[in-house]
Amino acid sequence: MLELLGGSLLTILHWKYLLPLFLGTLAGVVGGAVPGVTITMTIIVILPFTYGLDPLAGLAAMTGVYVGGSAGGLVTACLLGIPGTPSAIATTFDGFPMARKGEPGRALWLGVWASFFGGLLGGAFLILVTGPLAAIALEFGPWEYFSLFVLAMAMVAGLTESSLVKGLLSTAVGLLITVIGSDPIGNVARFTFGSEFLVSGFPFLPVLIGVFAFAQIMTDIEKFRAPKPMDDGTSASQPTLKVSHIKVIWEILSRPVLLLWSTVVGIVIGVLPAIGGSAANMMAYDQAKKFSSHPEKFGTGTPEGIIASESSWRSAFLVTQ
Amino acid sequence: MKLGRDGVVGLIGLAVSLLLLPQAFGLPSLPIVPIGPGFYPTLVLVFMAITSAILLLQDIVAQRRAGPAAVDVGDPAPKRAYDLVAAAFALSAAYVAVLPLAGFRLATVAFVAAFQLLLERPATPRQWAVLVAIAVGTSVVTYIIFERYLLVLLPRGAWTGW
Repeated sequence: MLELLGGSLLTILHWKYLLPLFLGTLAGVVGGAVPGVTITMTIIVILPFTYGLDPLAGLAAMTGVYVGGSAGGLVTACLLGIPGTPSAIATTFDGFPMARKGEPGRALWLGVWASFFGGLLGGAFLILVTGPLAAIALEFGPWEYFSLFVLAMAMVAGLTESSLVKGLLSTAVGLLITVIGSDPIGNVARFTFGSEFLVSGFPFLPVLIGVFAFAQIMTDIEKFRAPKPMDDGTSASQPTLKVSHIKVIWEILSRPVLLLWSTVVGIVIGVLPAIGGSAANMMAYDQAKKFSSHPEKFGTGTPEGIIASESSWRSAFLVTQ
Repeated sequence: MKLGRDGVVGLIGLAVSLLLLPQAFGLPSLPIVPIGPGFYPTLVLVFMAITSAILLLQDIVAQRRAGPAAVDVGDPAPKRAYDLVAAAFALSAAYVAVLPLAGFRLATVAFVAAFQLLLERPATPRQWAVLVAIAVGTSVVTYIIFERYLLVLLPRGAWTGW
């Protein structure tokens, strides 16, 4: 196995594979950062450019688009409060408040580096323990999936800050949105009110944009006539994209337990069929909040929230692949 | 009886769930599976009705405990522009309604221009020009990116065919 790994590494390090990998990643990041443009859409756009490449170079480009597309969601999550992809939902909770506090660069780079380290650890785990974990995942049946559903409901209690009832009501609204459209077994239309648009239900991405983007716009409009808080013109309150990468990396590596645990959560979720990164980032965020010595800071722009979310989805993403 | 924000949300949640519950009960059962398509929605709606009712009750109790004196206390919170929020919602709803009739390109120009007007009325000819440029530019750029480049068809208008 190690021989194969070494051989593959040496092959991919050749410029004719590194270049399409780099360009594909760049295109993916741009696609992922645009709200409403899905990874699938980006892949469709880039695919024709790979026809002239040899198979391995084409594969490298497509892998770059796929990975970059997922990572691109972080950009809008931090800067606009709109997760570009479902796997960046939990990043929004702390990335956007941090950016609003005048540290958009720190929020972005914390996410990028956490994702990088999560990916590295996830890759190492992937090589070592995927086999045994996949064997467990294959044993998953309806009972286990139901347990996972109950676990997701229990997560609401952990993530709800002030009122459990409000959290549960929000969950109910979310569940109600998922039942609109055709029933998956009998194809019976539910709550469509005769509208053809509703028969196929609500796709995840438009709902995501509606919930995060539209809600954010309305919140901003609500405060439109309120006095602006940053009128003093001091340099400390000016948003900056410049950061010290060493400081950011240290911020992540000084929390090894958080990084490791979030990666493990991502791997465990990643091996389960039909779940993936969008659940992993929420679960890791929930875990990080529970184990934190200052859970009240979550949602206000704490680095732990970004590190947990980004490292977990990246490891889940690797394992899912 | 005065309701707070939570109370209003609870009331809306309760109304929606009670309105949809008869529909869920009316969904046909299937002969091949023991649990019909109405089972899960019923479960969700009952759960929603219960949580909404609890939220409503909590708010009523909180309002009663606070009493009328709490209302008279000067509000230190910044003034909220609820009228603007309501107008923005109405404008968005109008956009959704007009979209299939006027088509994406025309409806988007009108929507973006109207939204800017709602938030801040231009005072100078230059500001008016910027408003029009943003409205037209948004529609044109979106059209070029999505329909020309990504080959995603945007809605045509039933009235305009455009």
